[in-house]
Amino acid sequence: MALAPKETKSKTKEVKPANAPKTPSKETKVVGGGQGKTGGNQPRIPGGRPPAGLKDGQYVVPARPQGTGQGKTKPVVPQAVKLPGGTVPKMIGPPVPQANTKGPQAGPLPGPAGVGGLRPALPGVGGVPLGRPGVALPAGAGSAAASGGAAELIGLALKWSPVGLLLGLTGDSQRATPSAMPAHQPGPKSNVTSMPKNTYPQGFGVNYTPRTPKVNAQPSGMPVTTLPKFGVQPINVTTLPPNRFDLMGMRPGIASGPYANIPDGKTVAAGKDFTAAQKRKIYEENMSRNGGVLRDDVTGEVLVWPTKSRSGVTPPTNEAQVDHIFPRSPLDPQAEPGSNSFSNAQVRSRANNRTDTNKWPK
Amino acid sequence: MHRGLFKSIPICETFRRRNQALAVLDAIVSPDWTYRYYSFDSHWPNSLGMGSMRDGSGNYWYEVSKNNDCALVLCDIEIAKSENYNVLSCLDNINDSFRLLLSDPAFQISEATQLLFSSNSEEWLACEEKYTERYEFLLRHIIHWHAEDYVHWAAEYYESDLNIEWVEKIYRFESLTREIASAINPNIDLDPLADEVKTIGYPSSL
Repeated sequence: MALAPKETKSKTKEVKPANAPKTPSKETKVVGGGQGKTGGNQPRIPGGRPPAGLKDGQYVVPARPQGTGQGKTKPVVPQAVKLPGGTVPKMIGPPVPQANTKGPQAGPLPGPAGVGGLRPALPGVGGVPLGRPGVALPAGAGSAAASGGAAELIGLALKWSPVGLLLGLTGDSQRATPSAMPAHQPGPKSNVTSMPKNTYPQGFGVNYTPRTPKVNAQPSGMPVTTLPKFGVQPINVTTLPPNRFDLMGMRPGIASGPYANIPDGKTVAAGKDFTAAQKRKIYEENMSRNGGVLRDDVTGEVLVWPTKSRSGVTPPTNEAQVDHIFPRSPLDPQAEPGSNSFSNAQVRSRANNRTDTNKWPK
Repeated sequence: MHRGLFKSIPICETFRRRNQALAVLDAIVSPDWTYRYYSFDSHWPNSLGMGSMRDGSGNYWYEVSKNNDCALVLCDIEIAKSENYNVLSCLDNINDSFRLLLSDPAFQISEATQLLFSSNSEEWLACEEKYTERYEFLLRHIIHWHAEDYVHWAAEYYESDLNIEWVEKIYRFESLTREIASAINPNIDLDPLADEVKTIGYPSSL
């Protein structure tokens, strides 16, 4: 008998950075273009309206202002760039690794230039596509570089670090040009050129030769992207499996769940079930934290102990279970199995364990 | 239904006996039911008994039989999370005796990711063709009937070093005695165990 396949529903929720603009704004600046608040004409954001005086398919790339210090800026001379086909592509830039583009993260999304779009003037920092490709982010050096929690944190840390401030990564001020960076070569005052996809107009920002990021395939299938060095330390970000976690400083297969404080024994290994003693400790720890009540570690729902099945009785949906944060036996054969470490455990209700994505903390 | 995918699963009667033996071993090793894997209730209404495995992390199976019909309800938690399954459509294609077996709400049919059926000791028929090996893993102790497998697993899960000689007696379905029970778990309280073994339906002289 043939069985009708069930329509597969995706539980994937669209991940959107908290600081991502809901709609492209005409006020959005080209990150690293050097224009800052004094940038004059704003570039056209893909999907937005062309600035006055330009036809569709053209948009203005503001030239980098003269001077690299924090002082006054000289007037900027905009450059108009005609894009191939007369339309503004949604994403311009070097190819971004696609190895981890499942779910809503996949595919280029329209976003402010400098993120998914044009490279900024500070490649290696502001323009490094550290996060998931194509996720729209607002202009602003560090935050523009990252599209997820950890990468964003790294970006923010760089942004407000002495080095970041020195480099002018706050996005509000003029960019300082470190000595290690090539000097700015202003382009023609007005230059309508045909710009092939994934290349950069000469004269925009620095003379940037686009490179394809080197992707090292990891056993878990997670790519590590190494980006060109431009006077700053390269940043390697290991992306996490989709639908498993927001970036929280965790690495695949190594969670830091609510019971990471409990020391592991010698029997901890990938692909193992929690032992009876581990479950007991986890439940005890859970109850001690919740005033003697067993609670779901994510939702806080009060749970009941697992009980024997009884005929005619539906098992309670709030029956406690000890879940592997990273699955012990993932469906994806490329994914790294989670271990029975305490750090990979969380207490969930029966209903939440099978319907929720595993997120800790909430 | 899909044939031949679960040939390694023993026929219904053998399945039930192995389930009972595993339930007895778990009852001896772990007096606290909460942390057990295997259970069996020989007094399950309108049936020859109901056996189950629950790993405490969301994976489970239930086995229920009556007369010559046997049904197996399985849930793999990762498949459940993926929602890449559909067993409910199977219910339209089974006979009334199976439907009656599975009508008990305790089995949570709507949450199952696989259903298996067997009649007259024939091979099991599966609703879903996918993820066969994953279900065989859930049934590994039933399929691979070797006492050393249980001893090895109990050493990890219960952190109990069991003497395989005594475990083999249960695997051979020998009557449970005080000597066997105490040899497997010297700290076992025999009176509650006797009640449990009675519920399981395992032969006993406790």
